[in-house]
Amino acid sequence: MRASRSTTSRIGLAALLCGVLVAASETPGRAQDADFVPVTDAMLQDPDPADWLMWRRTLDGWGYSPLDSITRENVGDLRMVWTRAMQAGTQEGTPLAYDGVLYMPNPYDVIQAIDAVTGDLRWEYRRDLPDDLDDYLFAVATNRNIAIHGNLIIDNSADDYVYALDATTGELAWETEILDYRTHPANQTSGPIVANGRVVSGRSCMPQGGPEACVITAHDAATGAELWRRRLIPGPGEPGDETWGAVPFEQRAHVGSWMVPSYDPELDLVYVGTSVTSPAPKFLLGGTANTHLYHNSTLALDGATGEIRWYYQHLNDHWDLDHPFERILVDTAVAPDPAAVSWINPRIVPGEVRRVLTGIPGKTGVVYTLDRETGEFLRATPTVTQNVISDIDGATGEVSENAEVVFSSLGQEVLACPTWIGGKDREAGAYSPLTNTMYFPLRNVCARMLATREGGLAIYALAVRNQIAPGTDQVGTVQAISAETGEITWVYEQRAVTTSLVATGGGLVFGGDGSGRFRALDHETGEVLWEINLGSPVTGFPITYAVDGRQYVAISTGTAATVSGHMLLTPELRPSVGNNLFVFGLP
Amino acid sequence: MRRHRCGSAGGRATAFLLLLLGGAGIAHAQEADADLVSLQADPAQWVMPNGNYAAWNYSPLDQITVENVGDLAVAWTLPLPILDSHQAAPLVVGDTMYIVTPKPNHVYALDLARDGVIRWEFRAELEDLELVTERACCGAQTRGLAYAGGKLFFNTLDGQAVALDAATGEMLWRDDPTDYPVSEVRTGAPLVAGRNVIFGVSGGDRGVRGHVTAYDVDTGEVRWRYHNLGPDEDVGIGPRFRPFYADDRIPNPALDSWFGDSWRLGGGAVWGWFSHDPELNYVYYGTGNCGPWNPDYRREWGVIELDEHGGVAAYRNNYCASVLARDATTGELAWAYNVTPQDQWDLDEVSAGVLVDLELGGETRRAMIRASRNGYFYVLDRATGELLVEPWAFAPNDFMLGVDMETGRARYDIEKINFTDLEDRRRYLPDVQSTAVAWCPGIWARNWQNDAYSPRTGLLYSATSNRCGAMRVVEGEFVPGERYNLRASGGPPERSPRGDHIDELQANDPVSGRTVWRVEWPTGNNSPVMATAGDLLFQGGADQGVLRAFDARTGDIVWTFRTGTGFQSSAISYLGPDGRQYLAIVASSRAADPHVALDVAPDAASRFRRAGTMLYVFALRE
Repeated sequence: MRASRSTTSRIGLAALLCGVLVAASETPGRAQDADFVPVTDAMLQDPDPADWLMWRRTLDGWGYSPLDSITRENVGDLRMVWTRAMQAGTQEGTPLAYDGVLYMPNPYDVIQAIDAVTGDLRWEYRRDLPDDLDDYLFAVATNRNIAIHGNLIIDNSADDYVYALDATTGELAWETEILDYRTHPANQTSGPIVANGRVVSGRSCMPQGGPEACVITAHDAATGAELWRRRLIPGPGEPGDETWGAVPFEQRAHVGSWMVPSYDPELDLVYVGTSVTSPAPKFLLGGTANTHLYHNSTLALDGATGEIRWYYQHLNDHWDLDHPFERILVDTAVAPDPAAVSWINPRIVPGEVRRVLTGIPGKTGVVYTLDRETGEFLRATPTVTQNVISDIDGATGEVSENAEVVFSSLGQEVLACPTWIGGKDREAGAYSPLTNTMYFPLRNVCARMLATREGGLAIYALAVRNQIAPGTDQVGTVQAISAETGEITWVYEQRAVTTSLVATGGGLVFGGDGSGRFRALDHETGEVLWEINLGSPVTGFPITYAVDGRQYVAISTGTAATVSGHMLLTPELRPSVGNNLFVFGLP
Repeated sequence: MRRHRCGSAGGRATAFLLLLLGGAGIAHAQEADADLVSLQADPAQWVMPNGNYAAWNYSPLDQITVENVGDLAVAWTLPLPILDSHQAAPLVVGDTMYIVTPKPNHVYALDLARDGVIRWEFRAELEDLELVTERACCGAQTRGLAYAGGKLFFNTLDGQAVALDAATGEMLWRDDPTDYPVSEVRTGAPLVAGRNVIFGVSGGDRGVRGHVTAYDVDTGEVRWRYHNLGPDEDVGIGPRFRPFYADDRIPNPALDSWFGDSWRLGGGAVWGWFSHDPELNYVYYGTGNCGPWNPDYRREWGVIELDEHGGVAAYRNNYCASVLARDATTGELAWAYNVTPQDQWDLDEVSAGVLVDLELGGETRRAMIRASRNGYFYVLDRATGELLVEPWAFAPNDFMLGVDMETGRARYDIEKINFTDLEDRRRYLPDVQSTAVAWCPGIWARNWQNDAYSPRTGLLYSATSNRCGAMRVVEGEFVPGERYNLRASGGPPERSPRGDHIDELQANDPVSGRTVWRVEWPTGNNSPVMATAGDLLFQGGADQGVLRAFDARTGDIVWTFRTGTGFQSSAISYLGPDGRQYLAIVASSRAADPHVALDVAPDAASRFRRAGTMLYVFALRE
């Protein structure tokens, strides 16, 4: 046709050269495979500020990044840099960031390596999962986090394996069966951490799998060989056997650890938290006097052997108020303010610096601080409305449940606060060393709870009707709690349920909510400094990372039971739903 | 990509902000679209899929400019949970944005004062989603919503015409599905003119006889329905029919131009866009390909009658692959022009007729301009259907030799005419060895994707293609609901004269008949184009998964945003409740992430390609 109308070969050549430049600028290919520097334990224990190498970035569970180029002053200029749709299914993922690459766990054991600057895919691993998993498990899709070590990306699989991928190619490097999902099924919703070359992880064991499915495991990061496994339910002849009374060993079930451990390399202690029994009301499990170890406890495990060094039980739980959440390890002066803190160990020397394990380990929303070397109780105090704990003996740490809400018969209904979707749930808080303050996404929710074998959730013998806590109409809160004094320094509140947080060296706390908003709060005041509507519940864990000196913030959206349950309480909020990864940066 | 600039926009068209945008509302003050005539001229709104009645796909807003577009940033997003190719641009009326998704056709109302919080959602009920998905040819899409007088109108894939209360999402009325078991479905976008909301119908590749239906906006009562093929009474041909060319000034032009009763299965569906001139009170649309593709079923078998210039003199198959102008109130046909007579190359003429007033030969002419699917650029008098400028090829086309300005007939190369039987073809071409025909532009030089017209540059911006095809036409039976093309592969197609790149973004001058600039895309990229008064064009780029802004004057790429997805719908622009200019686009891709081989280049498509459907709303940083 009429090529002569518009082109000459000269212009064509010039345009060609120009075009190459344009194309290149749109896809700045990053670190090539040959450049990959293996990740060492030293790097995991003192990560480069630019990187985010595990679930909470560091082994102490802080959820804190020292990156500080995004500040309280310039966060208003933050803009979306790229987005990426994710695999469908329950979505609670946390990306890792290492040397310019994001490694993103998607639902159903899909893992992607993504250029952290452009969002472009480098490789994708899709695990071939058996078709019958749903016959044995109830949380097959969820894939919260992965680990990195050496040149491997390591995760637990829905079919109860731990497996490692070559971080440069996505090819399977090794895999090791943890449990046979047909006989000892466990929901592998969380992935591992790497504690001195050991891949340590927990899981949610299905009741039909009995006590042997309820284990913490450690595998060799390089080979996948199993190093040890620690059952969370004592058997005959083991310490704690007596706490189950007459319940036969094989009928002890479901004390799982479905979130991610923390680790103190100096003490070589792994800290894990555990869940409720099945059924939950203890009158159905040999009597309310029995404590059914090690449910709803913090356990300190020897990193080399998995032996239990100490434990602390947070609650004898009749309400499905699990305690598996992030344990925050801090060295801090401990000076609890009696005006702010309900239960205090009288032996505390105010102002003394202690190596503590702190945070909100369970759904009750109660903050606990323990000595992480010995397990000694130091202090505890409620945050959101709770009525299940009536007292904690400061001298012994012994917890007394509120007899008015402890079930004693089927058909009994109580108003329990919080409910089983949590005052706190798997959505993680963050700790900033700049303020020595912890920040938690908490929820004002209770439930009319019925002990029943019919309807409801048979696994717990409970049925619930959730409601907003009496005296408020705000479901979502973010609370700032001093690690030193226990004082709540500010509270942010809103209708929509709040979700996971990250704290930064720029003085910011980033977090999202169930209505689709993602925002930055001032870590000193809780004031909202920046906000965007992403249109879908913010269900993933936010992180921040840097490439070539530019700081980025990443967050993902989707569906999660912990969020959708709360959203039913705010029916006027009707976000859309989509699994997407978003990355923000300054211009 | 590469960009070819062909000199500056010399010989620039003088274009006027039409009467269309001015006081034409007065004549319709009593009509249901009274608010629409002013709303479509209001820069703050985007009340129809192509922005205004003239189908300009142009926003008069100019806060976002070539100079500051680099400050454009995502203000908010909304994922749409229907994972499909999303082709419908959003509408904005006041402080509400409306979106219709592909089947099963959800409609969303979004609160613009609260960053897109969902006000209401309507989920259409389709009788048999599985069956209609199977029966809908060529992608089960929807191309948009219509708004008027507080009501929203859209069609479901199974052909329901639905009216919703725009404030509440309550259904006000709906019509029964079309005959979708025989592939009569609805994928286009309706248009409101006066008291009528007008819908087309799809299925021309499966023996559906195309038609348009006008419903009363308030009651849903059918006011008229006219077919594009068939007897005069079916087609709405009466005293008002005043076509410009003699070929059409005959009794029953849409019946007698067909062999026997072949018109009954003749295609000519209406699955693209309508435009409207309120002053002439005409509604314009183009019709889909003729069916079956095999022309022997629509003419005397094995016979083609071309005049001395190559124009089809018999069995022109009116009015598929044609442009029609109807009275917007009564539906009567005013004029029609058969763009690709006896179409046998799948050349649907469904892109929007863009209505502009042009200074031609010292006169201001009321024109309709179109970069047609056959690769020729047409400028028609929109009052009469007369060709005002000799059509010219903007893309490789070797089956046409031009257009005869005396008769209006497209002039065909006999070598590109299809015959079922070799002996028939040999009567015209004694030396040929097969019935295979290779031709350019294949089945499209452009498709349905919205063009943009800027009155500031006087240029029409189109996503175009440099394709060629090859086929043989074959015998076959009509089976209701099944594909009725009667064609087979003709071997490898010939190489396009511009074969080093598949697609282009073109800026065409309707007055001088020149491509002023073009951007070449080595990999497929034919997304809709939108223009603004900031001298910007916005077009999604499936080639790199980016939304791009271009300088409308030069074709320079001045901004990109990577979504990793494809873009099947047009961007829109509107003024938010805060007085700022916003840009919105729905990005969508059906494909899941493909496996990336390790040796794939860093800029390989598989590295950026992402699935998902997401509404992105952009604004300048404050």
